Amino acid sequence: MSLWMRWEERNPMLAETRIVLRRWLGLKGDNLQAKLVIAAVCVVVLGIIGAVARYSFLVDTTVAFPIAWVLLGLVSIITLHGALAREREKRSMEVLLTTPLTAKQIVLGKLTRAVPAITAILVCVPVFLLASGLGRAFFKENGLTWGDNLPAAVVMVALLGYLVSSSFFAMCLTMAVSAMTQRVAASLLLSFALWIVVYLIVPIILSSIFWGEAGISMWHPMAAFFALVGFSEYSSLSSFIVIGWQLALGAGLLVFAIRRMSRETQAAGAAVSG
Amino acid sequence: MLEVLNLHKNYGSFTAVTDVSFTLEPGDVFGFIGSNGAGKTTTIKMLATLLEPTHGTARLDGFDITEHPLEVRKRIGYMPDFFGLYDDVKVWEYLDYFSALYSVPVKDRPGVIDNVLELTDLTFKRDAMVASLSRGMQQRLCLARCLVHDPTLLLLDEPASGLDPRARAELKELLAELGRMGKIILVSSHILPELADFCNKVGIIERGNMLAFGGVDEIARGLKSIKVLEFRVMDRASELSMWLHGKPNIQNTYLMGATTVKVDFDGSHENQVELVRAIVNAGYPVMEVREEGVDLEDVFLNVTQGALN
Ligand SMILES: Nc1ncnc2c1ncn2[C@@H]1O[C@H](COP(=O)(O)OP(=O)(O)O)[C@@H](O)[C@H]1O
Ligand SMILES: [Mg+2]
Repeated sequence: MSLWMRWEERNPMLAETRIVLRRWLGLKGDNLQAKLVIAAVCVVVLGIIGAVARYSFLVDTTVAFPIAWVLLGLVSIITLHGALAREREKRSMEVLLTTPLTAKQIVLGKLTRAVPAITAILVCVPVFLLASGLGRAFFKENGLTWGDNLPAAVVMVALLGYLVSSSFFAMCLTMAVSAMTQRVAASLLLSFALWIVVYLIVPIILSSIFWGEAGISMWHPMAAFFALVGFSEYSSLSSFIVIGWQLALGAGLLVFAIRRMSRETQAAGAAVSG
Repeated sequence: MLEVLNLHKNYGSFTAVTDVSFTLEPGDVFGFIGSNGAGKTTTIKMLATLLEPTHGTARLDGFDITEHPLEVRKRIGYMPDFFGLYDDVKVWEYLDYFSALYSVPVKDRPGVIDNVLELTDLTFKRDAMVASLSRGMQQRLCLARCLVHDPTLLLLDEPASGLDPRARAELKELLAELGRMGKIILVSSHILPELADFCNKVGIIERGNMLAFGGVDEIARGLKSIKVLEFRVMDRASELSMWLHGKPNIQNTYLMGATTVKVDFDGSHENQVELVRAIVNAGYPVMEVREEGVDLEDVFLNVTQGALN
């Protein structure tokens, strides 16, 4: 908590994430809601681990990644679509803007609201692999090889890197949409629509233009995944390309959201001095 | 100290606020009066660093609102003309959140929250959800939120509108208390009498122009003051009413029933003494002469009509 508080001193906007965490996870006081949530999560996680450990010969471990990837996108959108749009809808934005916070602090601080849920999902992925017979051994038993015969550790880092960068991109995309919209519902729909466009429609169009075929190109996160597990002809290098563009585009969207917010205050120097 | 210097705002070609200037000292409770659309909210938003002035500026304790907005924000508490509360949190969580945003040291927060709850009479609602509060309580919670960082200037945009008389009386008491604590308080309203009895300074704005600024009495005196004199007699009220009609300094007479006559009187104190003596000498059975205080509604109408003509 004291490390968190030190971060919060630098960006007071982190208080929002702290309060949400306290509500859902805090056990102090008669917090029935928090206790129920924690109990439910424990049951579900233990159940999944148990089921996977017992029936791993039936389940393809590779399924964990697409599922995690979709979950991460959805969780980012669900936790962040209201970040700025809700402030406008509740008409609390002006009050927030009269506090001594910079646009940068507001946007980056609110971004952290997605981090706990994202982290929980990311932690589940290795747990899932461990439970299902230590990843690589499992692949070997099933006659699969890692793409390019890379060491398993590198592959694991690349896979997690691509999941992390996918989440980051989805978070930034949602934050940028939230910075532009007045209504929570509009922000939710638009974020979701754009996420689908970026991950489904744009790759298909790009690949049909540049590679002369309709299909999922090597620029697509899924291609990175298939390359890494040896299901596709693309090299595992493509996963690093995907990590790169997702991080870069995400950062660009964040800058856009911060610019949009600092214009909202209109006051000269509000975004600069601080 | 708040110095407002030629604050001016254009929306496109429309001028919402025209070169407004005034100065307020710690402890001042300033009533900022004007009808709807007069430019009150625009002025307050500029002072709250939410709107950039077209020209002119204001300084709070020496910090310029356009050059050092972050310094100014540390020193103001702004309450908009709508609540803008988060309703899915508890009262103490709401205040804890804002004390964090204002970087109140962690160890001071519980004490600060207790203090502002006490001041706004919300201690018993500490663990209630914000959504469950009545309108008056939500109002006070907004005010409590404005106070967590001990600001020097409170900007309250029409805080009394929509409150029942009891909640309004409580609000007045609270603002007077805050004034005694040495804060500068700016309260806007479109109704002058609502504010006059607890403000020590009043400004009247109409169509973006500050028409009058000063103490309530000062403003009233600056006008050609009309006061209302009320005479209560044992009987013959209608006769008195006729008798008064057309006497010097008397503008209108009103018969208020069998024993009461009211007149609009625009003379000096000497003229008033003479009038009372004349009535007594004429043999009317006067029981009571009462001078009604300055009618603020009239003051307001007088000042603003001047601008419109
Ligand atoms: N964003 C805006 N764009 C154009 N005109 C505006 C805007 N905001 C306010 N106005 C106009 O400026 C004038 C002053 O508005 P306002 O400051 O809200 O008045 P008040 O708070 O005294 O009722 C009104 O005529 C209003 O229509
Ligand atoms: Mg207004």
